[in-house]
Amino acid sequence: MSRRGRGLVAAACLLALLLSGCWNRRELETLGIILAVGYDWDEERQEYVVSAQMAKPQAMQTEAGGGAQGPTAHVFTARGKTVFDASRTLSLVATRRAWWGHVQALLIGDAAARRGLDALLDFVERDGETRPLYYVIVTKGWAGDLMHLRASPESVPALGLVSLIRSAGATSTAPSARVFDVSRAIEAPSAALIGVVGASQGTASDLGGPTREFQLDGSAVFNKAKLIGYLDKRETRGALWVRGRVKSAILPVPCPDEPGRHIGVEVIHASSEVKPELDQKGKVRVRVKLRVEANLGDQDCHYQYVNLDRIEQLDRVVGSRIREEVEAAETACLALNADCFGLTDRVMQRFPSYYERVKAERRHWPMVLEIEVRVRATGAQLKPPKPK
Amino acid sequence: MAKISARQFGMLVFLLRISLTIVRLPVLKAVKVGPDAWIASLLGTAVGLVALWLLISLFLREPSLTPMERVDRALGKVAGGLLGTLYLIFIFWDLMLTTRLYAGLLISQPMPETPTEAFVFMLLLGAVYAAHKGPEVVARVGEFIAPLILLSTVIVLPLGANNMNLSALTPVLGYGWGQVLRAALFPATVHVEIIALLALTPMVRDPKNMLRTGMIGGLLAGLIAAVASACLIMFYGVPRTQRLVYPLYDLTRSVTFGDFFERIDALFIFTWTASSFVKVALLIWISSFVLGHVLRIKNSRVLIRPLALLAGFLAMRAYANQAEVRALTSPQIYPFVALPFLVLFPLVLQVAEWIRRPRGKAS
Repeated sequence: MSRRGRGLVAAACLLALLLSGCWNRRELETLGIILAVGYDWDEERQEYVVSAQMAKPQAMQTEAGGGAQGPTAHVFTARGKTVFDASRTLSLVATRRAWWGHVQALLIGDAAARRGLDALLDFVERDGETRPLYYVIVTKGWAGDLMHLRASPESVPALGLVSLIRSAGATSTAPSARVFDVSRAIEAPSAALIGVVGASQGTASDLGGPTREFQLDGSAVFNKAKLIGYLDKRETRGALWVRGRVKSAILPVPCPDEPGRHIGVEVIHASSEVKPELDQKGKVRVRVKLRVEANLGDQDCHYQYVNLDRIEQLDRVVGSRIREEVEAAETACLALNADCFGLTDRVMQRFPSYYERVKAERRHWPMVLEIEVRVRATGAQLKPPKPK
Repeated sequence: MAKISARQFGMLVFLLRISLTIVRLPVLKAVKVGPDAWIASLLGTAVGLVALWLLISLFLREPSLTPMERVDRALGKVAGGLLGTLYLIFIFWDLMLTTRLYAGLLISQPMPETPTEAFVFMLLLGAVYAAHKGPEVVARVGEFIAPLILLSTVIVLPLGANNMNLSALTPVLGYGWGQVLRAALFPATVHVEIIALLALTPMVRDPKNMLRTGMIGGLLAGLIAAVASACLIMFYGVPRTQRLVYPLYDLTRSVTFGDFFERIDALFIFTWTASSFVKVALLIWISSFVLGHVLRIKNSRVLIRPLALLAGFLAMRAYANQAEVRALTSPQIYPFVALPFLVLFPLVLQVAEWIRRPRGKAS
């Protein structure tokens, strides 16, 4: 054999070694794909508790004419001094090796959140297998308890939960956040808002026994990465107006002419402009301009508002309804001593040296709120039918 | 001797510069500059390009000679050999560091349980093969890869746009020009890597255009670094950006477009592998070429394999851990390693030739 030929054979043998696969390859059937994970903190034992919802692929296969058989996922729980420690301890109970690349949602229990998200998320951000794209959501109780909930009509609960989080923009009452959003938010000087999930009260129906389902429920407020309190749905949206994160919402505003009845106004588009400025005394205040476009969706009263002289009245009542929400948020956040509106970031950027001087004592900035509402479309009819 | 075109030379400049930039983006780590990292990056590039201009022009005065031959002629064999050795040490140091950085990213992120040796071995195996084929081949590979890297960066960065926040870049110059200037030291001194490429000067077919293409290559790499810094800060905010070990890699893991186009980190690994490959192949060839000159060996190709083996071995042994690699590529240390080479080498040559010239005329 020529020298060249021998060289080729040697190269082929070497390549065969390398091409046979990755160093530590893992076949799909040996992986336990984690779909959702819950982090809790056990104060008594000073340990993290990790609950992992592992997919059961056999149960997900649907046969012709039949639905999924049995639960599509199993929940494993393990403890450890760090999140990584607890995650690895899962291998003592789970027959398959946990695969963290496809986690959809990360649930954080109240106690773990109060201890602080900074170090809690370190594993997710540091490791190569985890992803910064997980949705993060907070629970008011023990996150592990929620891992057993259903998310109808999805057969896989974690996927259902993610659908809920993604579609939360329809009401804008539970802010969605991914890991990278959270790590950016907790290092900002103002408070961070993260959506809250809880369990709905199960009701029995003809279709099956009572089930408890995931239910989004307002937001959790974090100051310096630590959970300090919760906002309800209305307060959450109040804060999101100023942050410019309201995508859509239905605002029930009182009918100007018929007390006790309401008009359902749908927000189509909302934006906010936050501008820190100096007042006459040289103090910093923040001017917030909200621009809202809305449609009249339905009305529970009979007056025809689609009139040149009346439609602007609607603009005003919608504006005052939005103002109420923002003020509700302001009151709640004042009680928590947190800047839910994210104004501090802007003040710091606009007046850096002023901010350095006052940052120790200031968490609140006087806000001048200007709301501009345009109710544009009113749908296919002028007013509801009125029996004569 | 086969030839390289000036265009290929420019692309090699781009590849050499972009490699360290895309994986570390060290300008972001300058703590006191905060949101102005991109300004520091631009400023550093500007200064670096001036240095590059002077350097290339210096060697273009006699494009048919290699830098080592110029030094030998100006300083004599002994002092010339000494400076040539220094030059070699720098190129070899860069080779080790590049090899180690390549393996470092792969073992710390996508494939943590694979031994470092596997990546170092595979990278060097390909690079040695390419180096054996000669710099023309490497240059052609570079000509193919450089536009791909440019393209992939241009694709990745805007994908994060929906999560970027322009106000994160304010206040502009909040820490003042002084801090920006200090932070600019790093992006300016990384241009030192280009001195390795000057060994290729005699091989460039149309040296007249080298200055132009070299500057374009350096400028593009600098612009990418600046734009990437700005995008990262807008995406993550300043504190998080400063914590990231591999900022751009992290960004490719985080960007999501319409909830379906995500997890494009494989694209980054491709970019990273391709640019590291060209850089390592080139540095192996150049170091063997320079060593051949220092040792007066005619066929310097025989040195390729031993040098690659040594580089591979040292890449794994010379740095005990991630912290050491990080320190070496940090803005606190790297500039002070690079600066002497960037200044000393051309300065000594310039002064020596200046001293010699009048005497030459008199005789």
